[in-house]
Amino acid sequence: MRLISRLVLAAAFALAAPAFARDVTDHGGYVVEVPDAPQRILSLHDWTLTVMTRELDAPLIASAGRLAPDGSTFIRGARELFGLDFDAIALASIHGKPDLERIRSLKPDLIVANIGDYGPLREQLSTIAPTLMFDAENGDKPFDLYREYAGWIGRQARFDALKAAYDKRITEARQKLPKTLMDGNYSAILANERDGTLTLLKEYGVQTTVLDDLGMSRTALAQSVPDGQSRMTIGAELIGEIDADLIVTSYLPESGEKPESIFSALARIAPGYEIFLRAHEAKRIFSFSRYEIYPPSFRGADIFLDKLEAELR
Amino acid sequence: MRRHFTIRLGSAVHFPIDLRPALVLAVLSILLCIGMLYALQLGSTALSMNDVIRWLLPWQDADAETSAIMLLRWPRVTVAILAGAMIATSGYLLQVVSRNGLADPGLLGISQGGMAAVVIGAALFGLSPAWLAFASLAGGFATALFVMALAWRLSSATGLILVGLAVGIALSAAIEIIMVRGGILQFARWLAWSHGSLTSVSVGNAGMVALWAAVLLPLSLIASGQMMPLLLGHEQAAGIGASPRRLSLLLTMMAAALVAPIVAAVGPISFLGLIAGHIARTLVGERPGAVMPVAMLCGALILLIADTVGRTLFLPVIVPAGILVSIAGVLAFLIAARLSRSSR
Repeated sequence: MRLISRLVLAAAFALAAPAFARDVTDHGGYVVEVPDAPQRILSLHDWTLTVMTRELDAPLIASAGRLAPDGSTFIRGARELFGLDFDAIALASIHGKPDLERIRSLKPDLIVANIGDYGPLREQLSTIAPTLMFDAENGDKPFDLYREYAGWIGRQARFDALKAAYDKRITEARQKLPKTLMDGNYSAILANERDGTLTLLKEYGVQTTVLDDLGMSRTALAQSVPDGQSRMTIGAELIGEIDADLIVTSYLPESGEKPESIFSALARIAPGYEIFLRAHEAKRIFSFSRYEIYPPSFRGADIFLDKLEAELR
Repeated sequence: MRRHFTIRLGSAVHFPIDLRPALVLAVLSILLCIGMLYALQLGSTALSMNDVIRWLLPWQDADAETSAIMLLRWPRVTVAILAGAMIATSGYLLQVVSRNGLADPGLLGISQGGMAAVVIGAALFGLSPAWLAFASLAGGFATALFVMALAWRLSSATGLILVGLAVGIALSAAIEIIMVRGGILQFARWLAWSHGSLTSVSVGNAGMVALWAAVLLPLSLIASGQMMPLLLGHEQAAGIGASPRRLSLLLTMMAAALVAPIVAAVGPISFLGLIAGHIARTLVGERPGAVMPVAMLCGALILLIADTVGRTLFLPVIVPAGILVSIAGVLAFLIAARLSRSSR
């Protein structure tokens, strides 16, 4: 009897072994042994990792979430793009306030986290499950990072299918949008009213990805953002340097911002900005919901293209 | 009623013990033990006290589930107790040296010096976590020496605090510049760390802090026996044969060394040194030999309670212990300032 049980155990181990067959080097430079096909993925960054995992149809069991002003919790980005909420998956932690015990109680077989918030917790997270650190702003193009992530969790084929559909949509959009504009340049910015600065974005989710793929070029200042970084903070006196055929920015609905908030922000940061920006004169300063354009997501890219086409029609 | 008793070992060795400090120490020790048990029991995952006690007893087998949860809890509880004691000791040492009850490693810029060294070491030179405590120590030492040198000529306790505050503000600004230049993600990481959270404490951190505590806490207790003359002021202390300047320098260095590993492991915990020192003096009077151990236990208890409350009371939100201690600290600071003004 004992022999039989040992044989059963040995067989179980033999079958289980291939589940941990891949080594992945994450963005922290750690080599992590991950399951070939993870079955219980826990994401600790909602609007990058949760969005990508959901879009890749990978088995996501829990995500970090945010607290709304009324005390409820929501999944930033994934709520807007996929209608994902905490009825469908479990709450892993409130963003930036990790609860290791809660994470452990969810019994994940793979944890994915962003290195900016969870780098110092890697050692503890790794005692719970294999943990991969993702850096959304290491200067690489968002869809290159997305492809890499799909490989980490064994969803390369799904990514390739989504990418093919996206490439087709870009080709169609190029034909629909004004050619003069597509041959021009663009600036992607954030206006920081609090400290009176502007952030010039080199890589910012699907916003910069789509405009690059449409064939638009960047301003000289945007090209000067150092390698390995995705953004650069500049003073308001450089407002003229961000001028381009198209200026795009974004707003955060949960902070009470609206698409037109950019104009009051620019007026406050750089009074008289209208004189310096021909994009303003041509009515080509557009603001989009950050929930939709920051996540690296093909659904987000579709929504961005829809809105861009509507604005330029 | 007798206020002290003496333990006699033969005819040569006598230990006179004051009754009040002994009683206070006993009560605080019991409270700390109870607090530790509850801190180990409470958390997102429910555990019974029986599970905790079985896990603590080496001859009992704890189940795997309890052991796995404890792997997340015990380093945190250990660091809360040791860090609380070390910060409280550091604060009290600085209060004696500066002859100002409002002194604290944060107010004298020592914490910021340690933070600046950690940030520069990690962000600019990519130092590994094992070396960050030493970087923090070097930063804390350098800042302490700098502040003392600047305040030397002022010859007043308030001058030391003012110089410390100014240096601390300048260092905080320098840290922000470094972090903003490092990009938004690095800045977010810095913000989380600067709140003084024990969430990221690992077994390795607990070992490192325990090692420093094992050396520095007994040394501080020994040093407390030599600190009485400093309470009289430098001139009077020198008049009775003490070396106040040398002693002040040594105690300041010791204060910097006590906060160095804590800054490296959990970030700065503001005001704890101030609160613990005040509570200890209120409980047992001014004699450093009595105040020091009581301050250690008060600091340990306060940080343990703050961390346990922060990670259990507001779930699913985890509130960093540093924030809760700061709230309590600001209130204590205002009360202390009010009391010191009315006593003048």
